[in-house]
Amino acid sequence: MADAAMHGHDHDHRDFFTRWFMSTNHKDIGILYLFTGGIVGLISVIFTVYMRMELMHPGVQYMCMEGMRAPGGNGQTGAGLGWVLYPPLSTTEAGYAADLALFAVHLSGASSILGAINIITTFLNMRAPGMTIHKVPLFAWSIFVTAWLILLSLPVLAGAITMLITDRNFGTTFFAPAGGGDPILYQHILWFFGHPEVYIIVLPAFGIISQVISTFSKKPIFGYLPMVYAMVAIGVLGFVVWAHHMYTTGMSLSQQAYFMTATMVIAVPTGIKIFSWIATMWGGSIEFKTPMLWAFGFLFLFTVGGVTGIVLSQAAVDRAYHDTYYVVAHFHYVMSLGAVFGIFAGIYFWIGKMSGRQYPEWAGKLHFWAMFLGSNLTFFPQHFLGRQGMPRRYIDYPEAFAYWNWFSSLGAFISFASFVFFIGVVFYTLFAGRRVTENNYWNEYADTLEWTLPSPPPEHTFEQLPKPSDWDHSHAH
Amino acid sequence: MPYRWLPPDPATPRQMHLQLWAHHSLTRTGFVGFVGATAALALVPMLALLGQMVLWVIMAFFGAAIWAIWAAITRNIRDRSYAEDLILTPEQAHLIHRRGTAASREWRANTHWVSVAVYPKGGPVEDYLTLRGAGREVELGSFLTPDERRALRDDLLRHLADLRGAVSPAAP
Repeated sequence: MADAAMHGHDHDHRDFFTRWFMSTNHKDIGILYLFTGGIVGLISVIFTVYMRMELMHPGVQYMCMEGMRAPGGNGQTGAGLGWVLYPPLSTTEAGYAADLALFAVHLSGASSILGAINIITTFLNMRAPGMTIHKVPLFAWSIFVTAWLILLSLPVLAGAITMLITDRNFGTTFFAPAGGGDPILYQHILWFFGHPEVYIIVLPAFGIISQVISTFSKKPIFGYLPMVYAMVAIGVLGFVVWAHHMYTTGMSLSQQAYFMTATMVIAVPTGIKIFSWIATMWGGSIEFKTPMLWAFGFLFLFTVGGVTGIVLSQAAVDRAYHDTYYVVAHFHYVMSLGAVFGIFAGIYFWIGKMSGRQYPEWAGKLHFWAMFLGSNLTFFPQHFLGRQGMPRRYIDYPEAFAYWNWFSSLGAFISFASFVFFIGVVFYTLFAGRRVTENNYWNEYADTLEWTLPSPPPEHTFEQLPKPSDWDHSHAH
Repeated sequence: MPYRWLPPDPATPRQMHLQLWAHHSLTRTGFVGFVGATAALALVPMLALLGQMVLWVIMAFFGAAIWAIWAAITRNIRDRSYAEDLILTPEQAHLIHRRGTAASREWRANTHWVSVAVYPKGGPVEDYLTLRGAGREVELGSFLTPDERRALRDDLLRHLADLRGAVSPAAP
């Protein structure tokens, strides 16, 4: 049309390899993340089921005893060091496996930082005209806070594992007492990353739950600004509580008292969010579609996990619970029954938008109930095991712990079956699901910009800037 | 609105200068505030490592991360720096397109023969605004919203009429 124009939309139709292996389209990259995460998640879940098979009965049935190559814990990083990589084991473990594992963690960390930079730049610099900071949807806010946490915590992990590498290979003694170093120093640095990491895991789920609950309650989210700043507060506070993972390392009582108090303070903004979600549903017209079931499950089960977190925050109590199954129960409730339920809520909420095909409602509900039953059966008995004194990261245990371990393993198998069923639901949906014809197949309270687009959205999403009337509705943000 | 008519320069009273720029949601103040706050918060835990060798190891990675976010936002601002300048005199219309780091492009035409066209549909964007003259048609304000382009069209027609009236044979 106009020769001074710079419209670069004239690229030819891309073949499969170009589209999926050389993508610069954020929607396709998001789908790649989902599938990669799903495949890797499936592999790790299979390892988990293998561990629960071993732990179903006392005695060693399947795992190799030689050199104790596979003690408990799913984060082995292939080198038998546990995901936390504590020295002196990580600095003295012979062979290349540990060095390769450390390199892999570096690569993963660098990748996360680059993704976080991308998200932050987009959130700050590329909002539609009129979309001020306090009009951004809550899911976008949750991802922004997550990205900010990644930007600040991953470099610390990178520093810690670099020092492990130099201790292993270049004669430094950052963590070796013989050379003036301290293995507890590593723990401080690691957990300075490690605690924000758990908020990195759960904050996106908070954002998803906000979108889902407001849609299926047919009400705007209660208290938009407090919800935003609660997430910011959780993010900031998450940086000052790390040593609650280290109560038994010999810190002074003053240090323990501080970290105990700071950890309890995080319950305040978290409680604001839980009560706001409940207030959102209060007086609303609730529709129990699959995403809402997952959101309900999240609300209840994340709260259960959160209250055991308060229990563990008490240093005197943690003296007994540290490194027992009580801790395992706590973090699985907040992660496997919190973040994962949030992820499933999001998948069922947005799969129609992403693919143009909708999942069968009966299948989504069946997946939910099977996962709810299975995951609760897996992790609730672990509270009892922890209280009975069963340690973490063991492949065998005394007969006295057999009863609840059996139930826990049964729950794991049911959860695994539900996950396999879910994979079937996804593939059925993508290849044979009912085609979606409306832009917004939920209701008017799904009022963020993606619901103004066809399903799936066109390649360039918005060919022209969205107008405020597209997204700035009077009843919701 | 991301366009403005600059006040006339006393040295060239019959020149009108229109500037248009693409919307940036992050202001300069916001950019400084965000990077500054992030860097300041990142330095707080460094206090605990003062006097230790470990400080330098961690600082190196922190420094790289802060530099990376600064560089990414700066690069994004530069790449999205779409700006246009339209300088109108009774004799000449001069349009300059700047697109990020690409070389700027220019168009000149006789003001008297310049026409303004709007394509409500069928153009790359809704209410696509163009100027025709000197055998070419060039776009104007494609990065604005449709409402802004409609308002700009009315402004342009008024200003072009003023300029043409200034050189009309009937004028003294």
